[in-house]
Amino acid sequence: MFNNKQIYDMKKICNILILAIIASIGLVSCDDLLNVDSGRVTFEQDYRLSSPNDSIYSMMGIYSQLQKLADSYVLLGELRGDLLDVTENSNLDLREINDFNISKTNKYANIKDYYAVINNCNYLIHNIDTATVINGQKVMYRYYAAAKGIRAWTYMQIALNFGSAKYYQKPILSMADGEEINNYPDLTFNELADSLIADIQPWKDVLAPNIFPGIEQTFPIRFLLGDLYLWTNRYQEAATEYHELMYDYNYLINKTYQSYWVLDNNIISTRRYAYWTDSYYYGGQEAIASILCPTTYGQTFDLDSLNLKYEFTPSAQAVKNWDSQTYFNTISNTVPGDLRKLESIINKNTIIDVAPNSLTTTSNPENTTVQNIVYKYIWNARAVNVQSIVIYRSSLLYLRYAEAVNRLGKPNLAFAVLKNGLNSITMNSTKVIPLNERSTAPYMNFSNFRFDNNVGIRSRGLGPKLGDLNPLVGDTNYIIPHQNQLIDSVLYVEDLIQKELALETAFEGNRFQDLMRIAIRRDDNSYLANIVSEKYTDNKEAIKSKLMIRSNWYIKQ
Amino acid sequence: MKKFKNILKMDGPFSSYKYLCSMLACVFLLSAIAVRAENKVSGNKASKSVTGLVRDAHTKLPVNAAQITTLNNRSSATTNSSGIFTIDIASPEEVLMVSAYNYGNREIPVQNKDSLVIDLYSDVYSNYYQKIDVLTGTVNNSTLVPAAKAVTDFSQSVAVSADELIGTELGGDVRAISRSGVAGVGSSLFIRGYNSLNANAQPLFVVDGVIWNNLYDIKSLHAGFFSNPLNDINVTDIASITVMKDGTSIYGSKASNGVIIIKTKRGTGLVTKINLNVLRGVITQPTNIPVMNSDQFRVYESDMIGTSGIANNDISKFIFLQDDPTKSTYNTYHNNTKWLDEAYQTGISQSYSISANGGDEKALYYFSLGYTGVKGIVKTTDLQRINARFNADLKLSTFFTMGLNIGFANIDRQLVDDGVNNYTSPTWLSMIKAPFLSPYNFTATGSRTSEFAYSDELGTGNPLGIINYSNNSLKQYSFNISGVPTFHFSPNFTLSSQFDFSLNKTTEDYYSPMLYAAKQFIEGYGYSENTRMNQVMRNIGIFDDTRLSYKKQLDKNNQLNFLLGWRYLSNYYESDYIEGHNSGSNSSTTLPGSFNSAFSVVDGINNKTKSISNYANIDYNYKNLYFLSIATSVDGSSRFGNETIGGFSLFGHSWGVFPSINGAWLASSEKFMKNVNFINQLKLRAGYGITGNDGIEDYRTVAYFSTVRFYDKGNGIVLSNIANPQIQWETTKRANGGIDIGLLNERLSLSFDYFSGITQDLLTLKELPNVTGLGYNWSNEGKLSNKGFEFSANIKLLNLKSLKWELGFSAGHYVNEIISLPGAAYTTKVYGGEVLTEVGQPAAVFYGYKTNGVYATQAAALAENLKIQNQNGSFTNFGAGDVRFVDKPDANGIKDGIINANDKQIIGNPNPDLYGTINSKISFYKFTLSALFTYSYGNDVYNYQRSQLESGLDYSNQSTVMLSRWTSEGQNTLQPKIAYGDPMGNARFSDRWIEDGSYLKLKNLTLSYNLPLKSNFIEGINIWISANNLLTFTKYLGSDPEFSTRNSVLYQGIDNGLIPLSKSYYIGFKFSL
Repeated sequence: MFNNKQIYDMKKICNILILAIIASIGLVSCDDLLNVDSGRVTFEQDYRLSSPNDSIYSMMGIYSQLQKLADSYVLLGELRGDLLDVTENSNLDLREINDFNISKTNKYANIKDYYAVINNCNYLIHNIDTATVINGQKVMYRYYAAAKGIRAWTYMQIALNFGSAKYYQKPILSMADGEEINNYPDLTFNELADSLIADIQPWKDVLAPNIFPGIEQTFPIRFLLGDLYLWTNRYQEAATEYHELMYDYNYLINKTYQSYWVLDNNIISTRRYAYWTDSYYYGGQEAIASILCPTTYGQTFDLDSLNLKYEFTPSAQAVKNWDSQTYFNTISNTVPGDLRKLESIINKNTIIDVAPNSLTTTSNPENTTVQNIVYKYIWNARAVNVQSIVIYRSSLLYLRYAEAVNRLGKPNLAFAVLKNGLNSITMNSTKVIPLNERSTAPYMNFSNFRFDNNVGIRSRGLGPKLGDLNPLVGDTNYIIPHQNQLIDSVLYVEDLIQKELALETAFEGNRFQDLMRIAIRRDDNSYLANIVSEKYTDNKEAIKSKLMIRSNWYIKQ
Repeated sequence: MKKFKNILKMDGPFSSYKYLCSMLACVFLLSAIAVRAENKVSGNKASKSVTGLVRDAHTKLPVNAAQITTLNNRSSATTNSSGIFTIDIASPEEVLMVSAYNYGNREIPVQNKDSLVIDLYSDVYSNYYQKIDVLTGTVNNSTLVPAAKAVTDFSQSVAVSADELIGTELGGDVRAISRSGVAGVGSSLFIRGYNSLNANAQPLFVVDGVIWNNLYDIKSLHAGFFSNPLNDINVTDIASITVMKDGTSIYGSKASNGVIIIKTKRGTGLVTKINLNVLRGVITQPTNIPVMNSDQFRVYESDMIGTSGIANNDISKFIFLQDDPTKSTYNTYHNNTKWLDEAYQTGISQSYSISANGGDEKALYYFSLGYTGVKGIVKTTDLQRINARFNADLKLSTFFTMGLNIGFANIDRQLVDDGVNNYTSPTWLSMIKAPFLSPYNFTATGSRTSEFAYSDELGTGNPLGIINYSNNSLKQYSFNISGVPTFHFSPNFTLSSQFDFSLNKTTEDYYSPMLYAAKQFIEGYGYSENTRMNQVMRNIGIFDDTRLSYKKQLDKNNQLNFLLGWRYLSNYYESDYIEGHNSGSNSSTTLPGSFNSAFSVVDGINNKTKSISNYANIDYNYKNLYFLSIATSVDGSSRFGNETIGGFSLFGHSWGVFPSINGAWLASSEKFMKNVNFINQLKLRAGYGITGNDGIEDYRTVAYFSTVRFYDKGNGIVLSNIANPQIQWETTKRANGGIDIGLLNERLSLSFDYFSGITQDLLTLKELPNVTGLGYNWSNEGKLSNKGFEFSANIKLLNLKSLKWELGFSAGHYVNEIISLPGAAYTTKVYGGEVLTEVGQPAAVFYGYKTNGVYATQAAALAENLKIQNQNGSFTNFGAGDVRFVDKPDANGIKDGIINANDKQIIGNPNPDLYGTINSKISFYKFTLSALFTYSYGNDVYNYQRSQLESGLDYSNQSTVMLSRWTSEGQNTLQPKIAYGDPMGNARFSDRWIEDGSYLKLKNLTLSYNLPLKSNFIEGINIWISANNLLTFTKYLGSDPEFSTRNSVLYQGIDNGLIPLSKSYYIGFKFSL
């Protein structure tokens, strides 16, 4: 069949093939044979944050994780407070929050959502190459500082909502890391605060990353520092940080966002100009930090739909707060009620056309009961592709400032935030700021012209003249009554601040934490228990006695 | 070495059986060695010869020219015209293989006899004595060591895909459950119970030596459809299917669910043969649960409206309640449409294939072309499949041969959404759609048009509109090419390497039309009017299996075969998916096109998996009397972590070791069996092996980031998995003992296998610590066991001159039990029900409420005082006409009077007690009538479809059983009252929906006729007619008791109303040239 030569050649070819096969068996030892990659996921070992692009992706990853906290922040902060209540439509998760009976499966109290933000921040902080210089700027510092800020805020939320947190700075990338860190001690807020302050303090002058111009997505470190100091009773440092933030970034309370009734022949009419609403618009001048909420299909943002489905409602207490105020045109020309109510809540059946996203809520014309829902949420969701929750805004900044300076023994200065507005006229008026409260401390410096248009927070919903009521003379309406002790005045003003927070920042998420802070400061659990339990009808006493125990303020994990 | 020991560790109660089986296997070996030693002493005894007579078993007439060979082929003989032969044998335990034209083969042990009388049976009977394909090559069935069954004759099969054959031919060895009535969709297959909970529990497919990706968890866009990879093979191309139940350790970490070996046909001889197969058939409309007609439904509907709390003045809005024939809307609402008849049609199945095989001494080839076309029983659905296959064996020299396999398939399908689906499944909508409506529009004056009506005001789409305007297709190409160069260093020493490249590409298009289908509310977004989806999947496999094989005949009694191999598999799976909603019109279906950009999803999968297996196998055979087989594989995979507990570490990877030992004793060849005449064949088998399951999610052992869409701004990168380098394979340790017996002159053959297996290191999702911020990752914890048996019997009942009747029976049984879990028991939600995973129970038992009828009177309800708690904390009592739920006592035996989650208990077990087949074959002259029954006994079914047809909670049409619903005080009935929204939860998941799914089904009945031909040109013509699913004996209330919604263990026994199997009739011709 074959001649010898052919057989020889064939054998030669075969030998080569055999060698090839044997060589391939030898490849067993070759490590690469079992290594795989993927086009959909990025392995940790391949992901190095060495370029601004990588950092932007990481930063957006952090923002996307932060989005999950937006619903929780608001619902935990408000449903546990006195201003927002459940309805017959409420789902079980909301009821649990309302009843301080939060189960482990509650969608809005998943501690993992918080640690997910922290771990992603840790990864960025740990790996970012801050030395990168582009156009002569160390651009990466902006991401670095922003991540530290978000991380600090998230840690505060964990400690305040869950009572304690496990503090770690290196990213968890393996089960072993996870188990090790899970055994770390549980730190209380105060134990955590020092670490957080030390961690963010050096970065307070770094600018926010300029990823989405016009939308403040980053928590200013000064605000965070202010809050941390305020919680730990370091009032002077708190006041200083708040003041510096006001000054450096021009955060003001001015008439731009003032709402008022139209006057017909100097008589208060039924028509109004609604500008105050814009003060909590995420794109407005007074928004300091907000969380952009997901609008992408497949990612959930519940607050908007819960609101439109009437799964919660402003409490009777919240309505009463506004209704019991008096709107002043002049001292003698008044109507009852606070305009801010009309811009905070709305009857569900009148809102249908304003609802974004064509989400239809079946209105039942036969049902005539008023179903009030929160207008603030709708307002910030008015653009189809942009929904957001404002975490920090000017009013909150000024009220926190007031809280700090009040505790520094300056109740009149604090009171001026509510009534007069912090500007040079106010500061120079001895009627408003008595001599004993004056000092040269930097946080008291409002002489700069930028503050000239500052008005009292109340004046934007309770009448344009309120703040102008002749600060040089003083008046008899809305004043601090004479007290024997300074501490009495301080407590009185602190109550006013607390009430003002309810009028001004209702439903924005900070309520329960504000009440907690004041109650802890006064070491008086009943302070919180009394205010919160006012909301309940059937089980008022049960809730009250539950809240008399401080550990019940926290979510059990 | 410590780690290695860990693998072999004994496990509790299981160990004794395992120990026994290992010991048995060793005893075979030791006795063989002992006998061999004794043999040496006795020295070289002169070989002896045996004389015998070969005759027909019925006529007792001698058979001329029968071939007799000793089993190891060392000597052979032929009978003379008197049927007499004489043959030399090497040992008194020798076995003779006798074969003759028109007769089935037979093996006869000599048993030290001097003369033998051998009866041969017609080849009409099935034959045990054949060669079968196992993992290491081809062996005689009688010398097979592991538990395996093979089937080789599919000439009259109407099956579209191979798994249908497995169900009918090997139904006692594999629990094969037809997925649905869609052609070629195949079956879920379970060998020896459920060997996993959350990972792949489907067997490994090895087709012509190549591992196929079984795509068990790949989701189709089309609801209820599974793209079955076995559908790529034309059944007429299959030469054999072997089910390997144990002894699979050379496939190590892939083999714990058993291995199914499929061999396609190859060139067999020098004579060119051409085969032509033609098949045509009709598939009838299935029987469905009967639903109410127009009049019945109208009454039901007004009752339902009465419970809905709608104000009286609003009821006028329900136009269908108006009975005034003068109204223009009268005609629209006064039809009696049998929607099922509108949606279904008579299906047509046809299949043509032609094959040629032949060759010369240099090359043998097999070539085939096939076409299968099925017009589905639901309108517009179809299947078109074209197959081509080319297998060749080239003998380039005595030293070097080359095998070549090329396969190609093109599948084209039109589909509709299937199963219970209130929006887009036409078959389901046909059941719930109001029968008083028509598929067509009516004009303002009340005359019918030919336009399809839109979705109605009750929120139900028009099934015919959906059928006509949807566009759901699947196009699939699969191609593979293999080369197998083999070097024959000597007749006993070969090196071969099989290299294979395979490509499978599937494109799926989906469009559900607006207006004809009801709007779907999607939480958090809004209404979807129409949906467009598109998915392209690609699977590329590169496979290499290199084997060094050495056969050593130590002496005339001792034979050793070594096999050393190395296998590499690289699999790349990619899928790209896009979904859009609300394009605004049914003519605008291009993505993204005019689809709403805010409401679109782009997603995909991109998985690479690589695995390496180093394996060795040693077969030892003493005198064809004792057999021992030892196999081990050492496996690595990209899916394994590199610090696994069960493996050892080398080259930076973790490797698992999977050994097995199997032994067999052919006792019938022993000399002492000489006088036990009624036993013709007796083989005992025992084995113990460890195998693994590498069905782990890719990449979960390392930390990785994935992308998240942030807003409309861009993509963010988020840490989504942390490293767990301990993730490893699931380990199955299984012991097997078996016996094969031939009795009464081979009239009766029996086979029995008992197995006991433990699967440990179960892949379970474990919650990660809170501080990680992540949910779950896999961990290897938990253990389950499967114990059971397989039995088969075959009887040659009648053996007359021209009438021959053979009966066969097979049965499988297993008991699955969860032995341990990492955490507490948990439930999984499945189709409105729940299944429980709990230690001490089988996997996925149904977990719900028990019921005890319906309260006939208010007094009866009050007497029991059961209530539910409403969401706002208040209570509502059950009343007359409500279901009487069982209030389960708590741990202290106290009943709280409240029906809530605490009252749930186990209400059913989807595992059968027994499953298998019964077959009968009667041959009369040239006619053959064969019947095949399949059965399943003792399995519970959750009839989800019926639960929806008897829920009585909305405006959809219901089963006629609802006519007996409770309507008035004192009425004794089993159907509760209807109430809009079901406030009392009467329709909740309870034993009302659990049924006995036992059945006996005449799966196939075939009559065939061999044309008596005397032609040089045509070798044979066979004509046959066949019917499928002709009779089903069952108490099951659903359409058909055979269905499988998913491949996952947790989804077994749930009837979600997929298109049922229905009766079908075929006629076929087979020409052999």
